[in-house]
Amino acid sequence: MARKVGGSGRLRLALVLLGFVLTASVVVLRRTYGIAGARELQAMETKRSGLIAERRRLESEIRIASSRAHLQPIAEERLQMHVPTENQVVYLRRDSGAAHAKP
Amino acid sequence: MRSPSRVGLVHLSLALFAVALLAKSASVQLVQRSRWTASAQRQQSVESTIPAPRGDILDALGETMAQSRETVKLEVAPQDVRDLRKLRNALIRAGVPPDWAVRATDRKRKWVTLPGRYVALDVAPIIAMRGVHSTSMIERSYSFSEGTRRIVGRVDENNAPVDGIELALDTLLRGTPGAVTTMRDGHGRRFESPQSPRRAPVQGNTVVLTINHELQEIAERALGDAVAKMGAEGGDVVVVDPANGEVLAMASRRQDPRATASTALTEPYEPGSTLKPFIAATLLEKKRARESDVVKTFGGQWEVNGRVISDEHPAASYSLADVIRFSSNIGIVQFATRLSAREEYEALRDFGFGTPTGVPYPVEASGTLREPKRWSKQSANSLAMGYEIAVTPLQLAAAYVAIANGGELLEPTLVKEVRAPDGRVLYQHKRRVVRRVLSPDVSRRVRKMLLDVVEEGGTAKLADLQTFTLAGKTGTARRTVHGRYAAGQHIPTFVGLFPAEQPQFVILVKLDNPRGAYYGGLTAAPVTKAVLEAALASRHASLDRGTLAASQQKAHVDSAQVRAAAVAAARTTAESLATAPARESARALAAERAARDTMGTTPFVAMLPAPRKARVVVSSPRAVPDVRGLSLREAAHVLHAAGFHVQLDGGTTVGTAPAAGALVTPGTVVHLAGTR
Repeated sequence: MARKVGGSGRLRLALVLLGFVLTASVVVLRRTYGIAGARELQAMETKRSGLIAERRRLESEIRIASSRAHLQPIAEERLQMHVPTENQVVYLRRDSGAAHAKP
Repeated sequence: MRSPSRVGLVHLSLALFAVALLAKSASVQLVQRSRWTASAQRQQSVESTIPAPRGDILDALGETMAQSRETVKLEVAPQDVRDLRKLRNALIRAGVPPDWAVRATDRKRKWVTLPGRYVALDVAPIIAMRGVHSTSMIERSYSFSEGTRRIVGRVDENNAPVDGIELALDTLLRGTPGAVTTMRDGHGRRFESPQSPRRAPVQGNTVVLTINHELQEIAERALGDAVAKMGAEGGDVVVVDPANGEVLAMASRRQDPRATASTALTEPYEPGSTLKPFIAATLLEKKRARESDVVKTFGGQWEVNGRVISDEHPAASYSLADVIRFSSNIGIVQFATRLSAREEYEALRDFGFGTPTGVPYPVEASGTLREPKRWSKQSANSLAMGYEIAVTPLQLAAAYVAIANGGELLEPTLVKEVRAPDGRVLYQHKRRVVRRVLSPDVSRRVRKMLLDVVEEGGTAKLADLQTFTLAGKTGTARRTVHGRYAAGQHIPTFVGLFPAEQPQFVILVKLDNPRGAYYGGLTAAPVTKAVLEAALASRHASLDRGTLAASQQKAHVDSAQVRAAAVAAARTTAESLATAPARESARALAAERAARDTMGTTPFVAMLPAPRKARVVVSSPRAVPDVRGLSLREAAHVLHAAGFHVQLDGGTTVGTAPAAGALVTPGTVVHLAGTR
């Protein structure tokens, strides 16, 4: 009888220990995955910020490159173009009201 | 009594140790719980501030003039770096100066902070290396010219405003910093936990200026060319819309590189003869004179109160209209005697002289206009000729606006609109009349007199346009240096109203001490013409072309002369393009033929393309979708699909900020709260 009780006690103890180990493993795993996920999320967020910064830099470069201050000297030097005098510009009236809109 | 065995003692010791352990555990967990929890929090998590980006600054066409972007600062601990050569090469490729790259890979150094800021993507492989540390920074970047920077201003490396609009509107432009709690792992590396509370930074408001960057660049180019050609020490160009007082362009140039402010607002000067129309207008308004009234001008030399006044265009007598046309000093002084000192002072004060215009700029000068009790015997005469008074170019342009728009002095403005990050309009400029200074009839009569100035015989013939009318007034004042008139130094000015009938531009050109010819009509007037010609040829220069097309006159062009010029230009172009002699001759002939074919009776008809529609600065707002009842993933998907950026904020209740149904511009960050 006493042997039976002793065997059952060890089994219970083993089960409790197993349960503890399993629970601890799940907690550790969840935390590990959570941390990895958070790190990945942060990396993506950093990448997004970087991409936005890159887009803004490129937009700024396009603005400068397409500005009048940049293009006019090039057009004058390489293509011998010039700003027309006012009597070389003739405004043609349009029927639609759009022509009256100020840009 | 039996003495305890050794085994018993060991058992007792172990039992006591277990009890002590339990007692300590109980003490740590129950009694000292809060202290240890706080200590763990300090070790495992860090509260840090997220800097807020400043708001954008746009021009009137919606082009970005200043914006903030995220960059990184790089710091290196050389002793922790594994492959120094690899890091050195990577740093040089990323644009780090070679001497700094060497310094950053010197094992003798413990810590090196590299100069400059870098876009995170460009230096991502470097940041991934061991021993390299990066810190996120917000950097302000500016588009367009250095001249525009005089208006917009700048910020220092800490994002604190230094001058210009950046400083004047700092409270609107600077955002609200956010905060985040980051966790530390066992290696001390930081990461943001999704469960940690996060307060996102809020970007500053967007400021839309009245400056038209196209016109600004035209003005800067014309001013730069004039300063270089005439050897002037600097100059200013101001263009104002007389309909609403909006400053469309404001270019300044100085030799001194320390002068970084917009001197059209900060440096008052004596305007000379450009002040005469205000005296004439006051005389007409008070009915003390008519345009046809004549005064003696004594053949160009007249002594009054011991001072000799002379004219550049001597005559025995002048009418009031001719006084303005020929800029007669004697004539205007004679006419000004019909006003009392108080009337003359009040008239000039009413035109806005002596008080700041109120544009949002940190250091706008008020100019000088002394009260009559502080006048000398000469003051009334001097004021009539534009001396003993100091005005800024913007003040003078604003006063001419009153002549241009029918008599209303308007408050000039540099700010068109202020918008919140979610697109709401917080402020919109509305035309503000300071006071009526002239009747519409008098302003029309003054414009007529100013029209004569630019036409044949007037002092500003060089500003005359062939197909449009231009009214204006020249001025040439002696220049003061350290409070005294400098010998041989002058400040020529021209203020033009374009077109004369219904002015769309008031344009002021001022040059500082040009070499050689120094009269306003010979120096500043041609610059005005250059600005107007470029503006007329531009599609985005804030001109109402419908009205202009109606008022355009037929050009008096010598077609033979123009044809010859066109053929010569075509030949030159062909010569520059061709390489082989045969191709050169073929291209030249083709170009010549094309030029001849194109020109009919009206040479150089420039068919302008359809005017581009005004750029939509704000895209039409749309409602934030209702995401209640959805999972976080579904909610984020719905918000993304609706065109919004999503920021997860944690919290217990699912919801959005701005709330569902609120009208928000697409692209705005919507904060999504919730845990599932």
